[in-house]
Amino acid sequence: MPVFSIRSIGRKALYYAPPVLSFVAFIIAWQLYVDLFGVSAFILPSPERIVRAGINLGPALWGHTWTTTYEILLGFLVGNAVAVGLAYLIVRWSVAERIVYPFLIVSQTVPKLAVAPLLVIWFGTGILPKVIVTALVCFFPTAVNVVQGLRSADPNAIDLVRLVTPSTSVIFRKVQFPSSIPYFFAGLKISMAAAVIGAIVAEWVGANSGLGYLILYGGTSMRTDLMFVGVGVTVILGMVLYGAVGLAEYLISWRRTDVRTNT
Amino acid sequence: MTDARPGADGAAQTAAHPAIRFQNIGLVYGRGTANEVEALKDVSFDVRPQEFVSILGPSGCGKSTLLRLVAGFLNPTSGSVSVGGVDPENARTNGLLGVVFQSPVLLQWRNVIENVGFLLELQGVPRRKRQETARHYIDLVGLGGFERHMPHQLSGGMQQRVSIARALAFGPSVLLMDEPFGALDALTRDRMAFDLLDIWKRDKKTVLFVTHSVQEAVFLSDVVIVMTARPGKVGLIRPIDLGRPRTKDHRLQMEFVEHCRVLLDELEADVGYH
Ligand SMILES: Nc1ncnc2c1ncn2[C@@H]1O[C@H](COP(=O)(O)OP(=O)(O)O)[C@@H](O)[C@H]1O
Ligand SMILES: [Mg+2]
Repeated sequence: MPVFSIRSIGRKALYYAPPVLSFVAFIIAWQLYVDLFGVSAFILPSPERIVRAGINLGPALWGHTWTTTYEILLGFLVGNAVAVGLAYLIVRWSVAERIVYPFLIVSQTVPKLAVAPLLVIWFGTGILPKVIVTALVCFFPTAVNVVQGLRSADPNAIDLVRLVTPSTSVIFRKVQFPSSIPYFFAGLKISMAAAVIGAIVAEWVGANSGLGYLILYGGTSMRTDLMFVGVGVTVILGMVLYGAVGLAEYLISWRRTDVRTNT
Repeated sequence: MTDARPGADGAAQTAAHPAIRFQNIGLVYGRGTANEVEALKDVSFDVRPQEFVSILGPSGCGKSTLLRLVAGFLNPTSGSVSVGGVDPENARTNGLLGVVFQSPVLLQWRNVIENVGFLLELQGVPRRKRQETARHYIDLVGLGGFERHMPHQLSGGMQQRVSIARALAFGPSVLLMDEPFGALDALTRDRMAFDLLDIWKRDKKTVLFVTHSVQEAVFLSDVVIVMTARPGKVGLIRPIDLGRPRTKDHRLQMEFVEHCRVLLDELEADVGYH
């Protein structure tokens, strides 16, 4: 594999150097700005102070991170399972489309931050309301994209199958389902980005653990550094999870580009 | 049109049924709705076994509709279609029909050999046998060595060859081709025409071929049918009595040019420009 040649490593380094360097420069400038101008840690803590606050939290930070990760993954799983099921129904039966679409739209126009307190009343401050909110924000992008993906199947390709069999399930398995895969992943990526926000927002309404809780706690206890720790870890978590979806797509999907999608 | 025709071959005439028979076909899309379209009106003609028949006609005159009727993807509003003496749906499920579209219609997630073997796979042909057959037809269309390529790695002409190989590998006795070379450049198109004639002669297939090119139709066919538009009707049925095998020289013959002129006149009379 040429991936390991010196030259290709050099080329990769050149490719990634600008974004990495500019990020490092940004952090340094931040640090210098806070140090040189003596900015109060309450207004803007320095990167160094934020990292130290994170280290001081120790295992507690892991606990918060894990809580939020768990909520995101569970909500993501549930939301997308529902999304794929609904998409299938919508494409298969036009009646289902007329029944389900209004609910789909309503589920998106309902302000999630407003339903979250209601969910806390119903389900307590445990993990369940967070999973529900996360699932709610997750499923829409996937559902819309999978519907479009299933419909993107070339009608001629469907006729081709019909040369051999009229079976709609064969048409689904051999043409419609594979056609939808790139759309499915496009939906999953948007869905994952939304899931992170969903879990954090849900935690604001009532929680005693999680990164959203940490951010809120930092705010109410005048610990700006803790807020930054929460936000920072959330960003990293989001990137890792998004990257995981990207990796799955790379490994599974047959086409990674030129698919137009809905958000 | 089963009357005596120069160049008609004896074996075909003794066959019990025409390969394809259109009898007083009428087809109306969206019947009873505001946008009702009468696509075909009183279309009747026969295609004999192993005959190569081309259809010419302006866009929207119902050429694709005609092919869809043969494949049984569509039912006529009036009249009847039969394929080898049976109704299209029967013919289709018996694997008598192969289809080539204007675009290659390849499954993007399958490589060349899997695309060519696709219909056989649906038929439940074992993998080993399927690959063997697919390989044979891949070689036949000149794509040996590209078995493992993905569709997006091939040029448009190569992709169309894959789709022709797929249709042939299925082993149909009737091949329906809807402007199969329409998207190709002139040179590739020319080569494909020769290749198609080779395959047609070797495999003894009946071909119903839609094209916009008068020259292509005359060059390939035993019979050329000109359709007129709105509603689609048969305007002219013209046997092409040039010898076979067809060679480049045929195109320079007076008879060839004369066929083209007559067909072109008929086409232009319909469209209305002179
Ligand atoms: N599914 C359809 N629904 C309604 N009208 C159609 C449909 N398919 C074709 N038509 C109409 O029928 C006529 C013939 O179409 P078609 O057979 O595709 O023509 P051609 O292949 O000769 O260009 C056109 O006027 C077209 O608009
Ligand atoms: Mg057409």
